[in-house]
Amino acid sequence: MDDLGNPQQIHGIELDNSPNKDESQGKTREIKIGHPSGHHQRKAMNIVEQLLDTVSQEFLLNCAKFIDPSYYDDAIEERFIIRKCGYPICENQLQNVTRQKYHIDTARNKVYDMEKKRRFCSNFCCKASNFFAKQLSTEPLWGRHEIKNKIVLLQHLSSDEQSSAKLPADDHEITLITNNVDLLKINDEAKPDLGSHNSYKLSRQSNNKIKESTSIKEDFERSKIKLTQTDNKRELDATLLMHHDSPSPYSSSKNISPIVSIKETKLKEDLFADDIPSVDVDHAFNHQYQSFHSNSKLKNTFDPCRTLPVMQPTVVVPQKTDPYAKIIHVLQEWSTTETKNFLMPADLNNPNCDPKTETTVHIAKDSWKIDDTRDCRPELSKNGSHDRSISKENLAEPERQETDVYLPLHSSNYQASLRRNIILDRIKKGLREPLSSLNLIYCDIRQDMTDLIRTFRLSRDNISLNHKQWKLLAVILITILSFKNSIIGAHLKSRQENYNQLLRNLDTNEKQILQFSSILHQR
Amino acid sequence: MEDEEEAYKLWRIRKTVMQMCHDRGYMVSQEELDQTFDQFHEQFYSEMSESSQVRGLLSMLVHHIDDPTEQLFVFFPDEPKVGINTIKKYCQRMQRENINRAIIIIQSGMTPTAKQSLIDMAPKYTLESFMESELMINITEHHLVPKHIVMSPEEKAELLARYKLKEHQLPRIQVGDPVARYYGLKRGQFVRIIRPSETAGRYITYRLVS
Repeated sequence: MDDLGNPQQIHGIELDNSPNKDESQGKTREIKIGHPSGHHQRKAMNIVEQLLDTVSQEFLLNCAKFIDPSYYDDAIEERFIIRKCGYPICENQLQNVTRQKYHIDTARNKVYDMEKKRRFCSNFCCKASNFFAKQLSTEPLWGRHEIKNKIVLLQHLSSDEQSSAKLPADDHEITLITNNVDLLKINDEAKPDLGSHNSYKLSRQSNNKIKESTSIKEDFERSKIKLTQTDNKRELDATLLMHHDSPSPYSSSKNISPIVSIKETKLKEDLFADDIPSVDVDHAFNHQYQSFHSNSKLKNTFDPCRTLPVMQPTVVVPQKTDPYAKIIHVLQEWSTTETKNFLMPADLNNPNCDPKTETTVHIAKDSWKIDDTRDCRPELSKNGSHDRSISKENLAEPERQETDVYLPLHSSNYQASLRRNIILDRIKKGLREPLSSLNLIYCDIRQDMTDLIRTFRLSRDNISLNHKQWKLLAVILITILSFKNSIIGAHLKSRQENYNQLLRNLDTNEKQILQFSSILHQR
Repeated sequence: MEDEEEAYKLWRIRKTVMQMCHDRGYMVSQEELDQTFDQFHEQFYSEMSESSQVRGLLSMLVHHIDDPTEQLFVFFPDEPKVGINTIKKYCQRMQRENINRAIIIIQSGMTPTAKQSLIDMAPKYTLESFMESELMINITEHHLVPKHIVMSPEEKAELLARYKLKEHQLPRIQVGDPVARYYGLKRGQFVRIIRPSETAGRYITYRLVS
């Protein structure tokens, strides 16, 4: 037991001084091996009892050794019963605890579980608590003496996180840099031991590599620091979101600490196209975390808990300064390469054209499957980039749904088809007048219209327009289709006057319509 | 309306608790056993403005008939879910008043820590927990539940001598059996069960609590 090292000793002393402990705890180190597990259980129970009171960070870290996640959950629950924030370090009382069990987001058709969240005073506490819980070893309590190294490391990590979390926002720069130094130290020192840990799956990597990667990392951190200094939440978010843009496969997220979000995983892969110890990731997470924390201190609405892959940054739609801006924006968002392929004029005798159209039709008849995987994935990155650009314009639109805990959709296929149905319905309505004046019926264009819309990338925000905009869009779409479908084209030509009249009614002209339609061809 | 329902529920629970205490051999007055809902409402809700605190008033202490120093607490915690804190509070009170038996009537559940602490205190302090929903009716009054009679140590010895039995030769009843819980039986105690029988008229059997 000598190799337990210093930290264990400190804990022993710490616990000895604690008021509620039973006598046996002083002898922990002698009797640990071979002692019935009841002893460890009793100790864990004791710790849970002690966690009822607000404890110091050190105490919580020391506790990590003696409890497993289920005991920690118990502690949270006990604290909830006595109306204290579930995070043992936090001393806030819970007020106005919501009785709501689920939060249903009608805009996104998602259901969020509130049970866990309402036990904490703030999103930060919820996040911090989860972060701590995820680090707790699930190893049986009686087998704990073999895994002391890991706990030492995790304590470092979480102490970094917690101490920095307490600092005011102005001190960010300093904290970030010191953290970085700590990180280097941890990496170099802890590596040999950590190599044997399965649960953290650290790669055995040469020190050189670490140095390489950390230097890049430092650059990255600096850029981040700058942004933090500006104290502009928007911009900070934008930097974080930047890493959404580069496509990286989710599957390669490996066995890192589960709390580390996809965001970080991507970030990691972008920065160091190589394996790095998960410590780095965790650390990057810490940084992000504390910056989030400062934000959440300023404005308690922002939730750092959003780490699930379905997370969609709110797309801020440009205000209606220009009536056509929205249309252009929407068209830009909709259009995909498939759209372009689909719209390839048939008379060009492009060999790719027809088969492509056929496949689209085929998909349309078959199922949404292929279609939807395409629909959903780009949406993430697209929205991400979009959010960034908007953020830079400093448009102040409150992030209304940011406070929710994000859960995966139960069916993204369903959602995509729902959106398609909505848009089809709207366009159908908008088409009524133009179609009658053009002497067409909806059946003539239905197939083409459906196929065209199937190629669009639809998101939550780009399917809400007002009546006039839908009408305009309908005309645009019909114009576009007229290039593709000769029957529609012929109708349009024969009713040129009616068509022009139609455009005049909508305060537009043919040139503008063509401009709009060219957007769809651009991809 | 909600208050009324709650009051009715509490009245039923209190009634069952009274009967339970009575059946266990604690002193409970006949008026309390026969208390009607109106009387109950008058007693507990008349001066109370906050109906949420009624449970605090319901707590009671009953004395054993044979040995008045043997007492039993009945606690009605206010929280829907009972945590270790509440248990500790009760435990301190029991220590202070030197009482080692108590019944806790819980509304919706108990935390694992609280449950564990009940087990930990078991040898010295016996805290039994009942859900409110379990006490809405008195199970021993059900026509399918035969009459159980808890046997005294003397009766037990007599029984073993009469049939020349060892303890382990008797059939058993579990400690967690609803009727065993109702009587607050402990391991090693005997119960006599008297049930009607079509062939024998009345059939008497014995059970060892295990």
